[in-house]
Amino acid sequence: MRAVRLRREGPGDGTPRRGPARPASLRLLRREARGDAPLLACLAVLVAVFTGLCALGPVELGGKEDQALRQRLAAAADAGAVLTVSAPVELPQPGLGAPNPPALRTQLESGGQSVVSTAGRTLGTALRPVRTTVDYQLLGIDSPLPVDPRVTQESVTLHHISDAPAYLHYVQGAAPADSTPAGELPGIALSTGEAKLLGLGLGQQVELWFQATRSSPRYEVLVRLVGIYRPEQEQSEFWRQLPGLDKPLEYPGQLAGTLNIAVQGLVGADAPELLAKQGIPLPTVGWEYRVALGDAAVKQLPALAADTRNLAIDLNDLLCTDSPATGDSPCSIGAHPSGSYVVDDGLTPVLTAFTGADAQTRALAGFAVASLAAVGLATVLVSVRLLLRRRAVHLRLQRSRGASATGLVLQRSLVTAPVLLLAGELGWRLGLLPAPTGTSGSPQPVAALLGTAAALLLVPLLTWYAVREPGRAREVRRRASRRTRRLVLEATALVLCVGGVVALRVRGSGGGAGIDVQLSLVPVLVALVAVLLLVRLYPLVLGLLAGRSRRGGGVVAFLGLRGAARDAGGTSLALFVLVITLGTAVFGGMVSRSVYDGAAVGAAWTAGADVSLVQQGDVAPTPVAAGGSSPVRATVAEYLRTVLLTGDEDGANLPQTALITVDPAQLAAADPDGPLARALGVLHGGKPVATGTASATAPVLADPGLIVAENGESLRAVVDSALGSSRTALHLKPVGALTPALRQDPVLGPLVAGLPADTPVIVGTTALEPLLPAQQTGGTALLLFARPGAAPAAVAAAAADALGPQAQVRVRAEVLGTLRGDGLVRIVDDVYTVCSLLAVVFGLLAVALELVLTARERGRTSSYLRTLGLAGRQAAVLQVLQLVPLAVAAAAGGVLVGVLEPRLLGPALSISQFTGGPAAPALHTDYLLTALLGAGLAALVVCAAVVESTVLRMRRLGGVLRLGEA
Amino acid sequence: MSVNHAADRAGAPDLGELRRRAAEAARPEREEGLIVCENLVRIYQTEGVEVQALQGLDLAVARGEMVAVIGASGSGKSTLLGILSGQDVPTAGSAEVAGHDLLTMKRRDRLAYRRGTVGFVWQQTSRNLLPYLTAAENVMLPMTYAGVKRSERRNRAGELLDLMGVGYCADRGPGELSGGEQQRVAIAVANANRPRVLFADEPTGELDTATSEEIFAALRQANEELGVTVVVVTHDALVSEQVQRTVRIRNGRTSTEVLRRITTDDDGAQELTAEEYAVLDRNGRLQLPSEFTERLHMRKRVRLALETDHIGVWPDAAAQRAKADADEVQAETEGDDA
Ligand SMILES: Nc1ncnc2c1ncn2[C@@H]1O[C@H](COP(=O)(O)OP(=O)(O)O)[C@@H](O)[C@H]1O
Ligand SMILES: [Mg+2]
Repeated sequence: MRAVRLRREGPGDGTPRRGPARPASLRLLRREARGDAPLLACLAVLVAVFTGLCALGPVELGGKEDQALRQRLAAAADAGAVLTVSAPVELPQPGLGAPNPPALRTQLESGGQSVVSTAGRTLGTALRPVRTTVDYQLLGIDSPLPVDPRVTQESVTLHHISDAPAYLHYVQGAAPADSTPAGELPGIALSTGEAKLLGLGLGQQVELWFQATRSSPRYEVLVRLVGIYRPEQEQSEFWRQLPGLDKPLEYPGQLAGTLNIAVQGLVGADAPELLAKQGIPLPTVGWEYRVALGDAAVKQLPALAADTRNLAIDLNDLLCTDSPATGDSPCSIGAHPSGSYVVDDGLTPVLTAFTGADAQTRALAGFAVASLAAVGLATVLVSVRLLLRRRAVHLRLQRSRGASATGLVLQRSLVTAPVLLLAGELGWRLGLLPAPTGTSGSPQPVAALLGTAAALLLVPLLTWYAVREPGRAREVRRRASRRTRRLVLEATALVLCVGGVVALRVRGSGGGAGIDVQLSLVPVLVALVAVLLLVRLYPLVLGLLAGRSRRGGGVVAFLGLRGAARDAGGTSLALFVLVITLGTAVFGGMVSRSVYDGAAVGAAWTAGADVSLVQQGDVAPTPVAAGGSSPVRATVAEYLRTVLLTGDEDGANLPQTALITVDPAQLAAADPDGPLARALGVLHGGKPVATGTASATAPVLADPGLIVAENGESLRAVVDSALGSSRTALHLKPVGALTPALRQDPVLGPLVAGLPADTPVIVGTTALEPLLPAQQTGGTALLLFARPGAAPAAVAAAAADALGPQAQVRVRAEVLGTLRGDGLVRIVDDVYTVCSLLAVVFGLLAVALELVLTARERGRTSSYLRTLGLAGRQAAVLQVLQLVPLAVAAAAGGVLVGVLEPRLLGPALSISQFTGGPAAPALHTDYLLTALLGAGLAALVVCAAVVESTVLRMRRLGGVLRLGEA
Repeated sequence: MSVNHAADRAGAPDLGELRRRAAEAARPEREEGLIVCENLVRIYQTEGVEVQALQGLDLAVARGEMVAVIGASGSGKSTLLGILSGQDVPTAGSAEVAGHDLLTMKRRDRLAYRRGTVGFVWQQTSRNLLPYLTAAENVMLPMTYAGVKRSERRNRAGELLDLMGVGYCADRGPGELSGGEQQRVAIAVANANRPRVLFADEPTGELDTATSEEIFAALRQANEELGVTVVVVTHDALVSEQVQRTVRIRNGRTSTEVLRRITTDDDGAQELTAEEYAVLDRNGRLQLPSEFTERLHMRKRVRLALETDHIGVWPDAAAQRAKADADEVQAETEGDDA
């Protein structure tokens, strides 16, 4: 050994020269980073995926929402014009000598334009004109006289419809001229059916009359039938909306055995002036619009709703002049004075429904997104922990050699920060690439920054925690309170969770734009609490099992269980990740399942049967051939009327009540197992029985509230007839309660669905029908039950005209298809699928990292056991066995969280927006999916363990030899 | 503090005298030395169980001294070195190294202390060096922390490695070094910032005897040539016999000290003498070696007798009887055998 003299320094020999705590050289950083490369890459990928999702996810989601909204608007437009603006126009009367304004037909278009320009900007650009109409009130037909002697009244409504020519084919004559030569009668056109029913021929003169009220003068008008048409493009929207132009309406008259006929006819564009000359002054001009939104539809929704709400006010503000003094018509259509503008708003209900459903969608998506974020964060935490664990020895060494904690933290951050920042930036850019433009969603840079910052901060934070100076005070505190601290943490999580759940239940979900943070965090908290509980419980269970296996003699099992129990605390992060992942997947499966099942209930409720026809007013259906070779197996007719009830006992008035009559025999044949069919048995046919002098008393099923209110006594029901000209009174005796289950019987759906939710309902039998007058406000439904195998379309076709041409046809399969195919429902499904898949990937990554974290310890245990004579095979089994409890606990915890969470959330989690139906849909756990998910996750974890133990086994020999090494 | 000192204080221990002594014990007066520990306590808390790793340890090491600390496994040696090297904080008591009070030291002072006042060598060869730096870089690392200039770092690293006899290893990574070379590089690293004290915790624990000799030589060289005070924890009897003072720790306390001296007798022949001393602490506590107490069946209570130049320690009467009985029985059985 060669001795070398060292320069000695003065007395201050040992004290170091003070200098700034310089971070170690770049070389050191580089060398260190090289060893950390795999984990850094893992972290970088996590951050990149996160920022990428922040860039892409909201945009993609927004696009899907837009699509869903457009889909709903289109569906609404298909069902009829979404928005109609109308105003009665005043035309110069003969003899008043008013200045002749330009012809109305020249004003219609500009009138429509001013409607569009008056509407708010969003609505204005969204309005798509469908047609312009000029509609007259009901005109009586004086001559020719009815063909059928039973017909007591014939009437016609005249229309000018701008787009009618495209849908008509004139079989005789031509369309009424838009400028009738002077001296000729105004022309009208009728359909072949109408002309035939009225007994009119081409060129025939028709005498019409009009009387505004009984006391006002009666005007007579002469017109000529100039055209007879038949429909073209019968499947078009036009004919679905305006069937009356083709099919005359025949309905019973006020006197028994009489008939009324109503038809609709077309007139030319100059008819207003011509008819005005004859004294018919006030046609109504209507502009019908559909509403179509372009890009970023959802973003426009609030403005659109506001514009729609304000439309009537705007129109009347801008197009009317307030002149109370003269009492003149204050508004104008072009140069024509007009009455106030009226908006028939079919848009607001669509928008309201969408807003509600969209809020629900976001709430549900929020659960999935928050869970994914939590899983991602936990995975980042695990990676950072592993990163530090691998460096722990080196960090300690550097610290003992005089590195400052700050220096070490800086040194770590210098490596990780650029990598993570770059990864975040890259992920963001990559996410923006495929992101569609022009959707309502926008990239969320704040979320991306926050996520990246969280990952960035975790590294220095955990580093600092690992290398911080030991403090005496801290040591003392830690000794005193480590247990307390754990308890406090657990209690805090529990309180937060319970508080969140309670707050949510009280507050309910929905409302507010964007994703509701509180709502989204609750599932994460629930999962956290579940994991804390599991971590507490599962060593106990394992201890018990271990004790049992020791007595049973299974050494490997005993050791494995013991090892698992010891690792319980250390693996809690992996457990958290797994539980929340599985919980989210199970939850999503349940939501999906519940929506799917709920939609079936909702569709059944809307349609009532396989197919149903619903008609306004009480109409006797024409018989439908059922049974035999007909696709219809059975039919059930039911009628709705609004009745005023007074208690027989106390004479108290009761709220407006719906009286529904059903044919019990038909129902029993069609739906023998239905709750209502069975319950109707107590009515014994429901025939009214005359009791003494009073009018007949009929047995009914009544709303429980009514029964309670009247102590089960009978009720006097007053039913007004269609035109209010007659009233009928009869007594109803409740003999049974119409329980909620009965009220929700789909059979009643088509009639009850349209009633306000709290309307009391009484159900009687059709035996009452002869006593009850027809009501215009009532409704008739004809339920058609299909023969097994019969196509719904065939069923609908078989009964097409049973309730008249204007009856609404509801096909259950179609309703169901619409509900299940709704864009928002698909969004929920998609979000859960994507989030669950990503969470599984993250979760497995976290588990793999945790396995690596604990591998050394477990490897050492089994190395040691091998030196004691445990066979290599057994040692491998032991490795896997140590992880089986984790897998099982994760599966159990995840399933539990997923299944319990929706029950905990209760009313906060409402999916009724997606399903329709009489009540909030029941939550249905998808047991098969849940079992598959649970088993799958457990299997994946065990697989990971097997792979890991195989890898370890290959290195085992080294492990055996280096037993003493830390 | 050893028994010899205690003898000076002999006298009639009346109440006033006891009071005076108590007051004196409470005075923050410190014993002389570079390292002074008094009544040092360190309690670990793991899973609710308290482990008293140090329970009132006293130690004094003079400047330039080389001291070996021995003791059974778990007696608290590593804990002591952890505290002295500024990596751990004692629970109670006092510890002062080169004028730094380790209990009240501020965070920043602790850092400066680790950088400049102490050096450390661990038992595990692999834990003393950063694997991804060469030997020279490892030596330079602490200097980087202390803010030494780059050129100076290089020079000093070379000098230190040469001094430790591993100059040829300068550009090799720790993985390419033998265990002995690694430990010598580690000693160089520990001396990088010219520390005043060097702590080594079983530096030869993983090495064979021959290599241990080398390491020990290196430590002694550091002690002699660099003037650094060395405290080395060891199991190795060979090592402990080569230092002048060996401190034995038992149950977290210094129990005995062995002082070795080379005495020249009348014939001029040099002889190495080793004397074992028990340690008497400031409160007058004394740990009797268990071989002694067991031999004399001393348990729980002993009788003390103050003589003019020493204190007699006698077994309790009951214990004495027990011993007599035992002797008798033994004598009988021996007699029977005969
Ligand atoms: N970090 C620690 N936590 C808990 N107990 C510890 C810790 N370090 C040491 N001990 C305990 O303190 C006692 C002394 O340990 P140590 O100083 O390492 O002994 P030695 O180095 O003499 O073998 C032992 O009983 C040991 O179990
Ligand atoms: Mg030790």
